[in-house]
Amino acid sequence: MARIGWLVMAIGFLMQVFVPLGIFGRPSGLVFGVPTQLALVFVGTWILVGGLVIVYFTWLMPYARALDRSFNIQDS
Amino acid sequence: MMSAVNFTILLLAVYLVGLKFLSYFAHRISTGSSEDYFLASRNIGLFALIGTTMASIFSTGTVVSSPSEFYRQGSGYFWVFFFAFMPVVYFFLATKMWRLGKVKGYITPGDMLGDFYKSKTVVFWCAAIGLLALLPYAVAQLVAIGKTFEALTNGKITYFWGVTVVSISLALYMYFGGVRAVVWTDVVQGFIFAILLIVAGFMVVSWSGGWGPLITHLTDNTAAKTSFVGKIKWNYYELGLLPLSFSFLPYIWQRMYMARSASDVAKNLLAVPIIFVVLFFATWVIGSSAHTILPGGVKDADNVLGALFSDNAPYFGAMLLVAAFAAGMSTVDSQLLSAGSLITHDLGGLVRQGDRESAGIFLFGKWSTVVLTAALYVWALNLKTSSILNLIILGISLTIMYLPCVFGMFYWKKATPAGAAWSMGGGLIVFCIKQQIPFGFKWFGLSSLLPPPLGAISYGLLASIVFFVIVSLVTSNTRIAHMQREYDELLGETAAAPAD
Repeated sequence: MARIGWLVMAIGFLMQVFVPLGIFGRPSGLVFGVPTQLALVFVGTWILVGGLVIVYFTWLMPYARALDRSFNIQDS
Repeated sequence: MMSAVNFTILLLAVYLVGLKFLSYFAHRISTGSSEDYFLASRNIGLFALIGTTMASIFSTGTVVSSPSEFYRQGSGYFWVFFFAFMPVVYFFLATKMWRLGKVKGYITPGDMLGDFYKSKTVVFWCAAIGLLALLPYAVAQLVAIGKTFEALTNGKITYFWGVTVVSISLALYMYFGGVRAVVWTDVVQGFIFAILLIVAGFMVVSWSGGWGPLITHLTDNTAAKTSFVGKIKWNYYELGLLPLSFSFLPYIWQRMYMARSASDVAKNLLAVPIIFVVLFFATWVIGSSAHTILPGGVKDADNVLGALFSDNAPYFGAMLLVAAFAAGMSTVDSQLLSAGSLITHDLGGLVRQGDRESAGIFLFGKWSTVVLTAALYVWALNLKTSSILNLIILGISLTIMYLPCVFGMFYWKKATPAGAAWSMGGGLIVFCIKQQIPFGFKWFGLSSLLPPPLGAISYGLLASIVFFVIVSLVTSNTRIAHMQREYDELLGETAAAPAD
Protein backbone atom coordinates (compact mmCIF):
# COMPACT_ATOMS: atom_id res chain seq x y z
CA MET A 1 0.00 0.00 0.00
CA ALA A 2 2.88 2.37 0.78
CA ARG A 3 4.08 1.89 -2.79
CA ILE A 4 0.73 3.21 -4.02
CA GLY A 5 1.25 6.25 -1.81
CA TRP A 6 4.68 6.89 -3.31
CA LEU A 7 3.16 6.51 -6.78
CA VAL A 8 0.37 8.99 -6.01
CA MET A 9 2.97 11.39 -4.62
CA ALA A 10 5.04 11.05 -7.79
CA ILE A 11 1.98 11.76 -9.98
CA GLY A 12 1.26 14.93 -7.99
CA PHE A 13 4.86 16.06 -8.21
CA LEU A 14 5.02 15.40 -11.95
CA MET A 15 1.87 17.47 -12.42
CA GLN A 16 3.56 20.33 -10.55
CA VAL A 17 6.52 20.02 -12.92
CA PHE A 18 4.77 19.35 -16.24
CA VAL A 19 1.74 21.66 -16.09
CA PRO A 20 3.84 24.87 -16.21
CA LEU A 21 5.84 23.41 -19.13
CA GLY A 22 2.63 23.00 -21.11
CA ILE A 23 3.00 19.21 -21.49
CA PHE A 24 -0.78 18.94 -21.09
CA GLY A 25 -1.40 21.91 -23.41
CA ARG A 26 -2.43 25.38 -22.37
CA PRO A 27 -6.11 24.92 -21.47
CA SER A 28 -8.25 27.96 -20.76
CA GLY A 29 -11.47 28.21 -18.76
CA LEU A 30 -11.98 27.31 -15.13
CA VAL A 31 -11.59 24.15 -13.05
CA PHE A 32 -13.10 24.23 -9.53
CA GLY A 33 -13.63 27.96 -10.11
CA VAL A 34 -9.90 28.59 -10.64
CA PRO A 35 -8.16 29.34 -13.99
CA THR A 36 -7.34 25.90 -15.43
CA GLN A 37 -3.53 26.03 -15.60
CA LEU A 38 -3.30 27.24 -12.00
CA ALA A 39 -5.98 24.80 -10.89
CA LEU A 40 -3.98 21.88 -12.32
CA VAL A 41 -0.96 22.92 -10.23
CA PHE A 42 -3.19 23.10 -7.14
CA VAL A 43 -4.64 19.68 -8.01
CA GLY A 44 -1.11 18.28 -8.44
CA THR A 45 -0.14 19.73 -5.07
CA TRP A 46 -3.15 18.14 -3.34
CA ILE A 47 -2.51 14.81 -5.08
CA LEU A 48 1.03 14.97 -3.70
CA VAL A 49 -0.36 15.66 -0.24
CA GLY A 50 -2.79 12.74 -0.73
CA GLY A 51 0.19 10.48 -1.44
CA LEU A 52 1.85 11.79 1.72
CA VAL A 53 -1.24 10.84 3.71
CA ILE A 54 -1.24 7.27 2.31
CA VAL A 55 2.47 6.79 3.03
CA TYR A 56 1.99 8.28 6.48
CA PHE A 57 -0.69 5.76 7.46
CA THR A 58 0.85 2.74 5.81
CA TRP A 59 4.53 3.17 6.57
CA LEU A 60 5.67 6.20 8.56
CA MET A 61 3.24 5.97 11.48
CA PRO A 62 3.73 2.23 12.12
CA TYR A 63 7.50 2.78 12.05
CA ALA A 64 7.24 5.78 14.40
CA ARG A 65 5.05 3.78 16.82
CA ALA A 66 7.60 0.97 16.81
CA LEU A 67 10.31 3.46 17.75
CA ASP A 68 8.12 4.87 20.53
CA ARG A 69 7.42 1.41 21.91
CA SER A 70 11.16 0.87 22.24
CA PHE A 71 11.15 3.86 24.63
CA ASN A 72 7.88 2.85 26.32
CA ILE A 73 6.31 6.07 25.06
CA GLN A 74 2.51 6.07 24.74
CA ASP A 75 1.03 7.60 21.56
CA SER A 76 -0.40 11.07 22.30
CA MET B 1 -11.30 57.03 18.55
CA MET B 2 -7.77 55.67 18.48
CA SER B 3 -6.00 55.97 15.11
CA ALA B 4 -4.90 52.82 13.28
CA VAL B 5 -1.24 53.78 13.78
CA ASN B 6 -1.65 54.23 17.55
CA PHE B 7 -3.61 50.97 17.67
CA THR B 8 -0.69 49.27 15.89
CA ILE B 9 1.85 50.71 18.33
CA LEU B 10 -0.32 49.53 21.23
CA LEU B 11 -0.51 46.02 19.75
CA LEU B 12 3.27 45.93 19.26
CA ALA B 13 3.83 47.07 22.84
CA VAL B 14 1.42 44.44 24.21
CA TYR B 15 3.14 41.79 22.11
CA LEU B 16 6.65 42.72 23.27
CA VAL B 17 5.60 42.87 26.92
CA GLY B 18 3.85 39.51 26.50
CA LEU B 19 7.13 38.06 25.29
CA LYS B 20 8.81 39.16 28.50
CA PHE B 21 6.21 37.35 30.62
CA LEU B 22 6.55 34.15 28.59
CA SER B 23 10.32 34.36 28.85
CA TYR B 24 10.05 34.78 32.63
CA PHE B 25 7.84 31.70 33.06
CA ALA B 26 10.05 29.66 30.71
CA HIS B 27 13.08 30.72 32.76
CA ARG B 28 11.40 29.58 35.98
CA ILE B 29 10.99 26.00 34.80
CA SER B 30 14.31 25.69 32.96
CA THR B 31 16.80 23.16 34.30
CA GLY B 32 19.95 25.11 33.52
CA SER B 33 21.43 22.70 30.98
CA SER B 34 22.36 23.07 27.31
CA GLU B 35 19.88 20.35 26.37
CA ASP B 36 17.10 22.24 28.08
CA TYR B 37 18.20 25.65 26.76
CA PHE B 38 18.53 24.55 23.11
CA LEU B 39 16.04 21.64 22.93
CA ALA B 40 13.56 22.16 25.82
CA SER B 41 14.67 18.82 27.31
CA ARG B 42 13.34 16.98 24.19
CA ASN B 43 9.83 17.15 25.59
CA ILE B 44 7.83 19.19 23.06
CA GLY B 45 4.34 17.76 22.44
CA LEU B 46 2.47 17.53 19.15
CA PHE B 47 0.50 20.78 19.33
CA ALA B 48 3.59 22.81 20.23
CA LEU B 49 5.69 20.97 17.65
CA ILE B 50 3.29 21.85 14.82
CA GLY B 51 3.05 25.44 16.04
CA THR B 52 6.78 25.97 16.32
CA THR B 53 7.54 24.26 13.00
CA MET B 54 4.99 26.36 11.14
CA ALA B 55 6.07 29.56 12.87
CA SER B 56 9.69 28.78 12.04
CA ILE B 57 8.83 28.26 8.37
CA PHE B 58 6.64 31.35 8.01
CA SER B 59 8.57 34.56 8.43
CA THR B 60 7.86 38.24 7.86
CA GLY B 61 9.45 37.95 4.44
CA THR B 62 7.21 35.02 3.50
CA VAL B 63 4.04 36.52 4.86
CA VAL B 64 4.40 40.05 3.58
CA SER B 65 6.09 39.17 0.30
CA SER B 66 3.94 36.19 -0.69
CA PRO B 67 0.74 38.13 -1.51
CA SER B 68 2.94 40.76 -3.14
CA GLU B 69 4.69 38.19 -5.34
CA PHE B 70 1.37 36.58 -6.33
CA TYR B 71 0.12 40.07 -7.18
CA ARG B 72 3.25 40.94 -9.19
CA GLN B 73 4.11 37.60 -10.84
CA GLY B 74 0.91 35.55 -10.63
CA SER B 75 1.70 32.09 -12.00
CA GLY B 76 5.45 32.85 -12.04
CA TYR B 77 5.45 32.51 -8.23
CA PHE B 78 3.77 29.10 -8.24
CA TRP B 79 7.12 27.39 -7.67
CA VAL B 80 6.42 28.07 -3.99
CA PHE B 81 3.99 25.10 -4.03
CA PHE B 82 6.99 22.80 -4.47
CA PHE B 83 7.37 23.34 -0.72
CA ALA B 84 4.54 20.83 -0.22
CA PHE B 85 7.22 18.30 -1.18
CA MET B 86 9.44 19.33 1.75
CA PRO B 87 8.27 16.74 4.32
CA VAL B 88 8.88 13.90 1.85
CA VAL B 89 12.63 14.19 2.48
CA TYR B 90 12.01 14.03 6.20
CA PHE B 91 9.76 10.96 5.86
CA PHE B 92 13.05 9.09 5.34
CA LEU B 93 14.99 10.85 8.06
CA ALA B 94 13.07 12.63 10.81
CA THR B 95 12.03 9.73 13.04
CA LYS B 96 15.55 8.32 12.80
CA MET B 97 17.01 11.70 13.77
CA TRP B 98 14.62 11.83 16.73
CA ARG B 99 15.58 8.35 17.92
CA LEU B 100 19.31 8.91 17.59
CA GLY B 101 19.05 12.32 19.24
CA LYS B 102 17.22 10.79 22.18
CA VAL B 103 19.64 7.89 22.63
CA LYS B 104 22.91 9.69 21.94
CA GLY B 105 22.08 13.19 23.21
CA TYR B 106 22.69 15.04 19.95
CA ILE B 107 21.96 18.77 20.04
CA THR B 108 23.17 20.01 16.63
CA PRO B 109 23.32 18.49 13.12
CA GLY B 110 27.11 18.45 13.53
CA ASP B 111 26.77 16.30 16.66
CA MET B 112 25.07 13.57 14.64
CA LEU B 113 27.17 13.75 11.47
CA GLY B 114 30.44 14.17 13.40
CA ASP B 115 29.66 11.24 15.67
CA PHE B 116 28.64 8.93 12.84
CA TYR B 117 31.55 9.80 10.55
CA LYS B 118 33.99 10.08 13.49
CA SER B 119 35.48 13.18 11.94
CA LYS B 120 36.17 16.67 13.30
CA THR B 121 36.50 17.89 9.71
CA VAL B 122 32.90 16.86 9.12
CA VAL B 123 31.83 18.75 12.25
CA PHE B 124 33.71 21.84 11.06
CA TRP B 125 32.13 21.87 7.59
CA CYS B 126 28.74 21.10 9.04
CA ALA B 127 28.95 24.06 11.43
CA ALA B 128 30.39 26.34 8.74
CA ILE B 129 27.55 25.57 6.33
CA GLY B 130 24.97 25.91 9.12
CA LEU B 131 26.26 29.30 10.24
CA LEU B 132 26.66 30.60 6.68
CA ALA B 133 23.04 29.58 6.06
CA LEU B 134 21.56 30.90 9.30
CA LEU B 135 23.23 34.29 9.62
CA PRO B 136 22.18 35.87 6.27
CA TYR B 137 18.71 34.41 6.69
CA ALA B 138 18.45 35.80 10.24
CA VAL B 139 19.73 39.25 9.33
CA ALA B 140 17.22 39.34 6.46
CA GLN B 141 14.49 38.77 9.04
CA LEU B 142 15.76 41.65 11.18
CA VAL B 143 15.79 43.94 8.14
CA ALA B 144 12.26 42.84 7.20
CA ILE B 145 11.08 43.39 10.78
CA GLY B 146 12.67 46.85 10.90
CA LYS B 147 11.00 47.83 7.64
CA THR B 148 7.65 46.43 8.78
CA PHE B 149 7.97 48.32 12.06
CA GLU B 150 8.53 51.59 10.16
CA ALA B 151 5.68 50.90 7.72
CA LEU B 152 3.28 49.83 10.47
CA THR B 153 3.74 53.02 12.44
CA ASN B 154 3.83 55.34 9.43
CA GLY B 155 7.42 56.21 10.27
CA LYS B 156 6.65 57.20 13.87
CA ILE B 157 9.09 54.48 14.88
CA THR B 158 12.03 54.57 12.49
CA TYR B 159 13.90 51.60 11.04
CA PHE B 160 16.77 52.25 13.47
CA TRP B 161 14.55 52.17 16.55
CA GLY B 162 12.54 49.23 15.21
CA VAL B 163 15.65 47.09 14.79
CA THR B 164 17.05 48.31 18.12
CA VAL B 165 13.92 47.52 20.15
CA VAL B 166 13.49 44.14 18.49
CA SER B 167 17.15 43.14 18.93
CA ILE B 168 17.13 44.02 22.64
CA SER B 169 13.83 42.20 23.08
CA LEU B 170 15.15 39.12 21.27
CA ALA B 171 18.40 39.04 23.26
CA LEU B 172 16.56 39.30 26.59
CA TYR B 173 13.95 36.65 26.05
CA MET B 174 16.32 34.21 24.38
CA TYR B 175 18.91 34.66 27.14
CA PHE B 176 16.43 33.94 29.91
CA GLY B 177 13.86 31.71 28.26
CA GLY B 178 15.89 29.68 25.74
CA VAL B 179 14.06 27.55 23.22
CA ARG B 180 11.13 26.94 25.57
CA ALA B 181 10.22 30.64 25.40
CA VAL B 182 10.70 30.48 21.63
CA VAL B 183 8.37 27.49 21.28
CA TRP B 184 5.68 28.99 23.50
CA THR B 185 5.65 32.26 21.57
CA ASP B 186 5.75 30.32 18.29
CA VAL B 187 2.63 28.38 19.19
CA VAL B 188 0.61 31.44 20.16
CA GLN B 189 1.62 33.59 17.23
CA GLY B 190 1.64 30.72 14.73
CA PHE B 191 -1.99 29.81 15.32
CA ILE B 192 -3.23 33.40 15.63
CA PHE B 193 -1.44 34.27 12.43
CA ALA B 194 -2.84 31.27 10.51
CA ILE B 195 -6.41 32.14 11.53
CA LEU B 196 -5.96 35.83 10.64
CA LEU B 197 -4.58 34.96 7.21
CA ILE B 198 -7.49 32.65 6.39
CA VAL B 199 -10.02 35.23 7.62
CA ALA B 200 -8.22 37.83 5.48
CA GLY B 201 -8.69 35.55 2.46
CA PHE B 202 -12.46 35.45 3.04
CA MET B 203 -12.57 39.22 3.57
CA VAL B 204 -10.88 40.07 0.27
CA VAL B 205 -13.19 37.67 -1.60
CA SER B 206 -16.12 39.50 -0.06
CA TRP B 207 -14.69 42.93 -1.01
CA SER B 208 -14.22 41.66 -4.57
CA GLY B 209 -17.95 40.98 -4.81
CA GLY B 210 -17.56 37.22 -4.40
CA TRP B 211 -15.41 34.45 -5.87
CA GLY B 212 -16.90 34.72 -9.39
CA PRO B 213 -16.20 38.44 -9.94
CA LEU B 214 -12.70 38.05 -8.43
CA ILE B 215 -11.74 35.29 -10.88
CA THR B 216 -13.52 36.92 -13.83
CA HIS B 217 -11.60 40.15 -13.27
CA LEU B 218 -8.37 38.20 -12.94
CA THR B 219 -8.82 36.22 -16.16
CA ASP B 220 -10.24 39.13 -18.18
CA ASN B 221 -7.84 41.90 -17.17
CA THR B 222 -4.67 40.15 -16.05
CA ALA B 223 -4.77 36.96 -18.09
CA ALA B 224 -0.96 36.69 -18.12
CA LYS B 225 -1.02 36.11 -14.35
CA THR B 226 -3.11 32.97 -14.82
CA SER B 227 -1.01 31.33 -17.54
CA PHE B 228 2.48 29.86 -17.52
CA VAL B 229 3.24 30.87 -21.11
CA GLY B 230 6.58 32.70 -21.21
CA LYS B 231 7.08 32.41 -17.44
CA ILE B 232 8.92 29.14 -17.16
CA LYS B 233 12.69 29.15 -17.25
CA TRP B 234 15.22 26.93 -15.50
CA ASN B 235 15.12 29.26 -12.51
CA TYR B 236 11.48 28.27 -11.80
CA TYR B 237 12.52 24.65 -11.27
CA GLU B 238 15.80 25.48 -9.58
CA LEU B 239 13.87 27.33 -6.88
CA GLY B 240 12.06 24.02 -6.47
CA LEU B 241 15.29 22.68 -4.92
CA LEU B 242 14.84 25.06 -2.00
CA PRO B 243 12.38 22.75 -0.19
CA LEU B 244 15.12 20.09 -0.13
CA SER B 245 17.68 22.38 1.45
CA PHE B 246 15.13 24.10 3.70
CA SER B 247 14.54 20.81 5.51
CA PHE B 248 18.19 20.77 6.56
CA LEU B 249 18.39 24.25 8.04
CA PRO B 250 19.77 23.57 11.52
CA TYR B 251 16.79 25.04 13.40
CA ILE B 252 14.35 22.87 11.41
CA TRP B 253 16.57 19.81 12.00
CA GLN B 254 16.69 20.55 15.74
CA ARG B 255 12.89 20.52 15.92
CA MET B 256 13.11 16.79 15.17
CA TYR B 257 15.33 16.36 18.26
CA MET B 258 12.92 18.35 20.44
CA ALA B 259 9.84 16.17 19.99
CA ARG B 260 8.49 14.11 22.87
CA SER B 261 7.83 11.07 20.66
CA ALA B 262 8.47 9.70 17.17
CA SER B 263 4.70 9.63 16.60
CA ASP B 264 4.58 13.38 17.21
CA VAL B 265 7.38 13.84 14.68
CA ALA B 266 5.41 11.83 12.12
CA LYS B 267 2.14 13.69 12.75
CA ASN B 268 3.98 16.98 12.45
CA LEU B 269 5.34 15.92 9.05
CA LEU B 270 1.79 15.22 7.89
CA ALA B 271 0.33 18.46 9.26
CA VAL B 272 2.97 20.82 7.86
CA PRO B 273 2.26 20.43 4.11
CA ILE B 274 -1.52 20.60 4.62
CA ILE B 275 -1.29 23.83 6.63
CA PHE B 276 1.30 25.14 4.21
CA VAL B 277 -0.86 24.64 1.11
CA VAL B 278 -3.95 26.14 2.78
CA LEU B 279 -2.07 29.25 3.94
CA PHE B 280 -0.29 29.81 0.64
CA PHE B 281 -3.58 29.36 -1.20
CA ALA B 282 -4.90 32.15 1.05
CA THR B 283 -1.95 34.39 0.10
CA TRP B 284 -2.65 33.67 -3.60
CA VAL B 285 -6.28 34.74 -3.09
CA ILE B 286 -5.17 37.90 -1.25
CA GLY B 287 -2.55 38.82 -3.87
CA SER B 288 -4.94 38.12 -6.78
CA SER B 289 -7.77 40.09 -5.21
CA ALA B 290 -5.66 43.25 -5.25
CA HIS B 291 -6.22 43.45 -9.05
CA THR B 292 -9.97 43.70 -8.41
CA ILE B 293 -10.06 45.70 -5.19
CA LEU B 294 -7.36 48.18 -6.22
CA PRO B 295 -7.92 48.58 -9.99
CA GLY B 296 -5.67 51.65 -10.06
CA GLY B 297 -2.71 49.52 -8.98
CA VAL B 298 -0.65 49.41 -5.78
CA LYS B 299 1.85 52.17 -5.06
CA ASP B 300 4.18 49.91 -3.05
CA ALA B 301 3.95 46.44 -4.64
CA ASP B 302 6.11 45.08 -1.79
CA ASN B 303 3.27 45.66 0.66
CA VAL B 304 0.03 44.51 -0.96
CA LEU B 305 -1.32 43.44 2.44
CA GLY B 306 -0.95 46.97 3.80
CA ALA B 307 -2.50 48.53 0.69
CA LEU B 308 -5.52 46.22 0.76
CA PHE B 309 -6.35 46.64 4.42
CA SER B 310 -5.31 50.23 5.21
CA ASP B 311 -8.52 51.67 3.70
CA ASN B 312 -10.98 48.78 3.98
CA ALA B 313 -10.26 47.39 7.47
CA PRO B 314 -7.40 49.30 9.10
CA TYR B 315 -7.66 47.69 12.55
CA PHE B 316 -7.76 44.17 11.15
CA GLY B 317 -4.90 45.13 8.82
CA ALA B 318 -2.91 46.30 11.84
CA MET B 319 -3.49 42.95 13.56
CA LEU B 320 -2.49 41.07 10.42
CA LEU B 321 0.73 43.03 9.98
CA VAL B 322 1.63 42.76 13.67
CA ALA B 323 1.10 39.00 13.29
CA ALA B 324 3.43 39.07 10.26
CA PHE B 325 5.94 40.98 12.37
CA ALA B 326 5.59 38.33 15.07
CA ALA B 327 6.12 35.61 12.46
CA GLY B 328 9.48 37.20 11.66
CA MET B 329 10.40 37.32 15.34
CA SER B 330 9.54 33.65 15.69
CA THR B 331 11.84 32.76 12.81
CA VAL B 332 14.82 34.90 13.77
CA ASP B 333 14.81 33.76 17.41
CA SER B 334 14.90 30.10 16.35
CA GLN B 335 17.74 30.86 13.93
CA LEU B 336 19.79 32.74 16.52
CA LEU B 337 19.40 30.02 19.14
CA SER B 338 20.37 27.44 16.58
CA ALA B 339 23.42 29.45 15.50
CA GLY B 340 24.38 29.77 19.19
CA SER B 341 24.22 25.99 19.54
CA LEU B 342 26.46 25.52 16.48
CA ILE B 343 29.08 27.84 17.96
CA THR B 344 28.89 26.31 21.44
CA HIS B 345 28.70 22.63 20.58
CA ASP B 346 30.24 22.24 17.13
CA LEU B 347 32.94 24.89 16.83
CA GLY B 348 33.51 24.98 20.60
CA GLY B 349 33.67 21.19 20.69
CA LEU B 350 36.54 21.17 18.20
CA VAL B 351 38.83 22.88 20.71
CA ARG B 352 37.25 21.80 23.98
CA GLN B 353 37.70 18.69 26.09
CA GLY B 354 35.41 17.55 28.89
CA ASP B 355 31.76 17.68 29.87
CA ARG B 356 29.59 19.54 27.37
CA GLU B 357 26.78 19.83 29.91
CA SER B 358 28.89 21.76 32.41
CA ALA B 359 27.65 25.07 33.83
CA GLY B 360 30.40 26.91 31.93
CA ILE B 361 29.31 25.53 28.56
CA PHE B 362 25.68 26.34 29.32
CA LEU B 363 26.59 29.94 30.14
CA PHE B 364 28.80 30.17 27.04
CA GLY B 365 25.83 28.98 24.95
CA LYS B 366 23.56 31.66 26.38
CA TRP B 367 26.09 34.43 25.87
CA SER B 368 27.00 33.32 22.34
CA THR B 369 23.33 33.77 21.41
CA VAL B 370 23.36 37.30 22.83
CA VAL B 371 26.64 38.19 21.08
CA LEU B 372 25.28 36.87 17.78
CA THR B 373 22.18 39.01 18.20
CA ALA B 374 24.38 42.06 18.77
CA ALA B 375 26.44 41.27 15.66
CA LEU B 376 23.34 40.84 13.52
CA TYR B 377 21.93 44.08 14.91
CA VAL B 378 24.96 46.02 13.68
CA TRP B 379 24.80 44.19 10.33
CA ALA B 380 21.07 44.89 9.95
CA LEU B 381 21.57 48.63 10.50
CA ASN B 382 23.80 48.67 7.41
CA LEU B 383 21.47 46.64 5.21
CA LYS B 384 18.29 48.71 5.12
CA THR B 385 18.30 49.08 1.34
CA SER B 386 19.48 45.55 0.49
CA SER B 387 17.31 42.88 -1.13
CA ILE B 388 16.17 40.67 1.70
CA LEU B 389 14.83 38.05 -0.72
CA ASN B 390 18.34 37.41 -2.08
CA LEU B 391 19.71 36.97 1.45
CA ILE B 392 16.91 34.55 2.31
CA ILE B 393 17.44 32.47 -0.84
CA LEU B 394 21.20 32.45 -0.22
CA GLY B 395 20.69 31.22 3.34
CA ILE B 396 18.21 28.51 2.43
CA SER B 397 20.28 27.28 -0.53
CA LEU B 398 23.42 26.46 1.41
CA THR B 399 22.16 23.54 3.47
CA ILE B 400 21.56 21.50 0.30
CA MET B 401 25.19 20.42 0.86
CA TYR B 402 24.10 18.30 3.85
CA LEU B 403 21.90 16.12 1.70
CA PRO B 404 24.37 13.46 0.40
CA CYS B 405 26.05 12.97 3.80
CA VAL B 406 22.77 12.60 5.64
CA PHE B 407 21.29 10.10 3.20
CA GLY B 408 24.66 8.34 3.05
CA MET B 409 24.62 7.99 6.82
CA PHE B 410 21.34 6.04 6.75
CA TYR B 411 21.15 4.48 3.32
CA TRP B 412 24.61 3.92 1.76
CA LYS B 413 27.00 1.50 3.39
CA LYS B 414 29.96 2.68 1.31
CA ALA B 415 29.84 6.20 2.73
CA THR B 416 33.14 7.23 4.31
CA PRO B 417 34.32 10.08 6.56
CA ALA B 418 36.52 11.46 3.79
CA GLY B 419 33.61 11.33 1.35
CA ALA B 420 31.42 13.27 3.82
CA ALA B 421 34.07 15.92 4.46
CA TRP B 422 34.82 16.40 0.76
CA SER B 423 31.13 16.47 -0.05
CA MET B 424 30.34 19.33 2.31
CA GLY B 425 33.60 21.25 1.86
CA GLY B 426 33.76 20.78 -1.92
CA GLY B 427 30.08 21.53 -2.40
CA LEU B 428 30.37 24.70 -0.34
CA ILE B 429 33.41 25.92 -2.27
CA VAL B 430 31.73 25.28 -5.64
CA PHE B 431 28.64 27.10 -4.35
CA CYS B 432 30.79 30.08 -3.30
CA ILE B 433 32.59 30.14 -6.67
CA LYS B 434 29.32 30.26 -8.59
CA GLN B 435 27.75 32.79 -6.22
CA GLN B 436 30.99 34.82 -6.11
CA ILE B 437 31.10 34.74 -2.31
CA PRO B 438 32.51 36.59 -0.47
CA PHE B 439 31.95 40.16 -1.67
CA GLY B 440 31.75 39.38 -5.40
CA PHE B 441 35.15 37.59 -5.38
CA LYS B 442 35.70 36.08 -8.85
CA TRP B 443 37.80 33.12 -7.66
CA PHE B 444 40.46 33.81 -10.34
CA GLY B 445 37.94 33.35 -13.15
CA LEU B 446 36.79 29.91 -11.98
CA SER B 447 33.18 31.07 -11.92
CA SER B 448 33.23 31.21 -15.74
CA LEU B 449 33.64 27.40 -15.68
CA LEU B 450 30.15 27.15 -14.18
CA PRO B 451 27.90 28.60 -16.89
CA PRO B 452 24.14 29.29 -16.70
CA PRO B 453 21.38 28.20 -16.71
CA LEU B 454 22.33 26.24 -13.59
CA GLY B 455 22.70 28.41 -10.51
CA ALA B 456 24.73 28.09 -7.33
CA ILE B 457 22.32 25.70 -5.59
CA SER B 458 22.36 23.26 -8.54
CA TYR B 459 26.15 23.34 -8.93
CA GLY B 460 26.60 23.06 -5.16
CA LEU B 461 24.35 20.00 -4.98
CA LEU B 462 25.94 18.33 -8.01
CA ALA B 463 29.46 18.91 -6.67
CA SER B 464 28.41 17.66 -3.27
CA ILE B 465 27.00 14.41 -4.70
CA VAL B 466 29.98 13.83 -7.03
CA PHE B 467 32.55 14.43 -4.27
CA PHE B 468 30.62 12.22 -1.86
CA VAL B 469 30.32 9.26 -4.22
CA ILE B 470 33.80 9.37 -5.77
CA VAL B 471 35.76 10.05 -2.58
CA SER B 472 33.73 7.44 -0.68
CA LEU B 473 34.47 4.83 -3.35
CA VAL B 474 38.23 5.40 -3.18
CA THR B 475 38.60 5.70 0.61
CA SER B 476 38.04 3.31 3.49
CA ASN B 477 35.03 3.23 5.80
CA THR B 478 36.40 0.76 8.34
CA ARG B 479 36.60 3.59 10.89
CA ILE B 480 32.81 3.91 10.91
CA ALA B 481 31.80 0.26 10.42
CA HIS B 482 30.87 -0.04 14.10
CA MET B 483 28.73 3.11 13.82
CA GLN B 484 26.81 1.64 10.89
CA ARG B 485 26.13 -1.47 12.95
CA GLU B 486 25.10 0.60 15.96
CA TYR B 487 22.72 2.74 13.90
CA ASP B 488 21.20 -0.36 12.31
CA GLU B 489 20.56 -1.81 15.75
CA LEU B 490 19.09 1.40 17.11
CA LEU B 491 16.83 2.03 14.13
CA GLY B 492 15.77 -1.53 13.33
CA GLU B 493 15.65 -3.24 9.97
CA THR B 494 12.88 -0.97 8.70
CA ALA B 495 15.41 1.82 8.57
CA ALA B 496 16.95 0.45 5.44
CA ALA B 497 13.76 -0.30 3.55
CA PRO B 498 11.35 2.60 3.86
CA ALA B 499 9.17 1.76 0.87
CA ASP B 500 8.47 -1.85 1.83
